[in-house]
Amino acid sequence: MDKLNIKLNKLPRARMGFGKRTKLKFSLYVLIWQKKSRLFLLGLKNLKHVPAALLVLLSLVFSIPAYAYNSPRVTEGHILYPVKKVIEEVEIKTASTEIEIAQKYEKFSERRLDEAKVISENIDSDEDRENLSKTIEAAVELQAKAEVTTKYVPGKALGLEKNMQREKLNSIAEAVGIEEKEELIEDIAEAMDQIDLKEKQTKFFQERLRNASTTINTKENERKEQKKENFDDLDYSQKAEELKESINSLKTEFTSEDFEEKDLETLFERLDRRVEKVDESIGEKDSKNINGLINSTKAITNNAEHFIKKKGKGNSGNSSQGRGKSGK
Amino acid sequence: MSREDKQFIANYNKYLDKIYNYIWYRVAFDKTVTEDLCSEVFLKAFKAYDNFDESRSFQSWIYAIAKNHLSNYYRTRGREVDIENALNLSCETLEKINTKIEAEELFSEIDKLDSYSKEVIILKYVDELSTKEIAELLEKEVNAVRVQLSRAIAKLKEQVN
Repeated sequence: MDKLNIKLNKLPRARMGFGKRTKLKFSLYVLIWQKKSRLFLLGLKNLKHVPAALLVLLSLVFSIPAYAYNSPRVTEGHILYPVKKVIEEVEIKTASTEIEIAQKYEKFSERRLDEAKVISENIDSDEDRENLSKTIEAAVELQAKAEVTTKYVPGKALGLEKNMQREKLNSIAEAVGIEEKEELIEDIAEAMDQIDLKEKQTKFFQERLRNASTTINTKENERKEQKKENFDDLDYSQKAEELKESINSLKTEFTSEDFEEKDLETLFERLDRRVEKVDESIGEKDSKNINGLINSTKAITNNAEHFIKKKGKGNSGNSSQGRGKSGK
Repeated sequence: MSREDKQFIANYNKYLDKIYNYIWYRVAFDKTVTEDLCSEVFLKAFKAYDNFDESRSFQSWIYAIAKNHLSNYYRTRGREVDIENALNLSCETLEKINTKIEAEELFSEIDKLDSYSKEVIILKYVDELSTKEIAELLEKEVNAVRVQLSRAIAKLKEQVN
């Protein structure tokens, strides 16, 4: 290495002063600490979403049952329907007095009718028909339970809104129409009759509830057998005659001036066919079938006006007229 | 302390003196300015360390930061000199440091060289950078730097002799 190189390598060099050096290192450590705490705070910042997420979750947890419970759109067959039923069960179980229980039953009966109304507005399949029948049946049963719970004093302790229930059933019948399946019409018509009959109805419900609770089928069978033996030809023929009379009076009362002809035709065709079936069943001495047919045909006759389309608007005024004269 | 922080502190310990001298020679041996600028360079580097590509050499990276910082310093101070002519080894500037007479003579000879030769010589002998590192810092070809360096030494020899 020559002299120049040695000289060049010996060019002066300096070092940062101790104070400044310490200060700089301290500043660096401060920055490191700040970075750390920033990361920590960032973590905390992310945590602030946790309460929000919890809130959303909780609101979902509570809002879904609330929706299920309150919406008449949650009907039989709906995914949330079981939730609704469970809440109602809880509500019944937490009611303290019998009146309170009865009021709950009545409230739920109203709900079933609201649900039935929703289903009746959009019947597309047999499943819908079945759901509608089930819902109406449940409404009637709940109403019966309400009345039974108040110690068989119908309408006394409860402010039983029979008119409102009747109105709801009327609108369901109108939505369904006479062209619908006979079984469905039968169910609705019978429900209408059941709502109308008060004292008598209560006893019917009591019997129905008792029947439902009993598990002894043998007794039932024995009774059936006995009924068969005691079959009274004359009695049933008389009932059949009464039915024919009420249908005939309906025919004279319902004119094509007030109602759609096509609907009237369908109605009377169906009623005539039912009378024929009653006659056949009398011949076969099938008392169970005769009773069922007579009751349901009577119910359809009583409430026929609600299933057939009226000409023009404002059909509500006609309803009492038709039912009053022809039905009973 | 994270792995990156530990690595940075290790590099800081290793390169602090080098960067200090690099700046010191280019601010006319002003100690206060050198200390401030050097501190700023390392703080700036720490803040940018997250973006540092570990496949690169830390030395090249920290020198590049120091060079940019010096450029900014000259610009903000409105000084007429730019980074290319920052090396001022005249007698007036040398008064700030206690150098031996021998060194003073050498400085005055180096100062007579053109700014590019001066820069290459200081980077080679004071900062102890390799030819490749000098080329990278000055954004020149390695060969060009090598030629420039040998010419500068030859010329300096000639002047000294």
